[in-house]
Amino acid sequence: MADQANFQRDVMPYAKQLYAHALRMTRNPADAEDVLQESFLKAYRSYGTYQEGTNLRAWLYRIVTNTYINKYRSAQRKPDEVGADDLEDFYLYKKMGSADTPSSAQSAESSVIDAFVDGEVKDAIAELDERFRLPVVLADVEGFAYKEIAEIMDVPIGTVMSRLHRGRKQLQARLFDVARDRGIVGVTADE
Amino acid sequence: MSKACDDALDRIYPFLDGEMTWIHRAKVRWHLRHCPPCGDLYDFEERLKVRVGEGARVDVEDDVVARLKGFLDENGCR
Repeated sequence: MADQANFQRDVMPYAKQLYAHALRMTRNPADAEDVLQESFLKAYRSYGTYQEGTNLRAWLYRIVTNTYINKYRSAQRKPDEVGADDLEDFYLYKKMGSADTPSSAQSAESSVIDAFVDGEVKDAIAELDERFRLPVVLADVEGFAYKEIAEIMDVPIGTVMSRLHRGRKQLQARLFDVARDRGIVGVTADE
Repeated sequence: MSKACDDALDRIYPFLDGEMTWIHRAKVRWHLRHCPPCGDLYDFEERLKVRVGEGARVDVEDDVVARLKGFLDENGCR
């Protein structure tokens, strides 16, 4: 049992990363701060149920994630236009490999990653369908293990793996569109 | 594409994410070292994962933490 008297001392070191997580989900600083404050209040009230020595970071991410989901119903989000299941595996690499580029295909594949600016990466993530966005962010940005993501999202590990796989495909499709729109890559040979 | 390639590519994300037992890791690693097309694909996925992680990073100002602390103090959270 964790002691409520130590709450701020224990949890404040995670405040910045939890705010960043809330911001990536809400995409709006004011909403992110609301989610953060509400989450910390909830965490304080249930701090007695937190088992000391277990994963505090994952416990807090779970509260922030649930607070966001309850506050901003995911059902209201626009349905996903790109069905991730229709996309080819390793979408970006495969598309770059078959793309019409001035240099060799190999260099196009490797240089496209460096060509993206941070804002493009952030937008591509933000546009993902929420079911896919959470596992991608939790794995690739926050560095959580599958087991931790399963706990945070309250789904089985198999679901985490499948959504992460589909989320990465969808993200790669969006990044490919960015590369094409910016002229980093020409029109693909097979289109 | 051989069956070995299919097996390795099926497991490439758990491999990339460090989510496999050592015996499965060893098999995938061996294949990636000996099959240049799969090795190139893996290198790309690995670099992309790093780039996504970096690109999504958010700089958080100290003010946010100060306001949160103020909010918690106001609500009697120690």
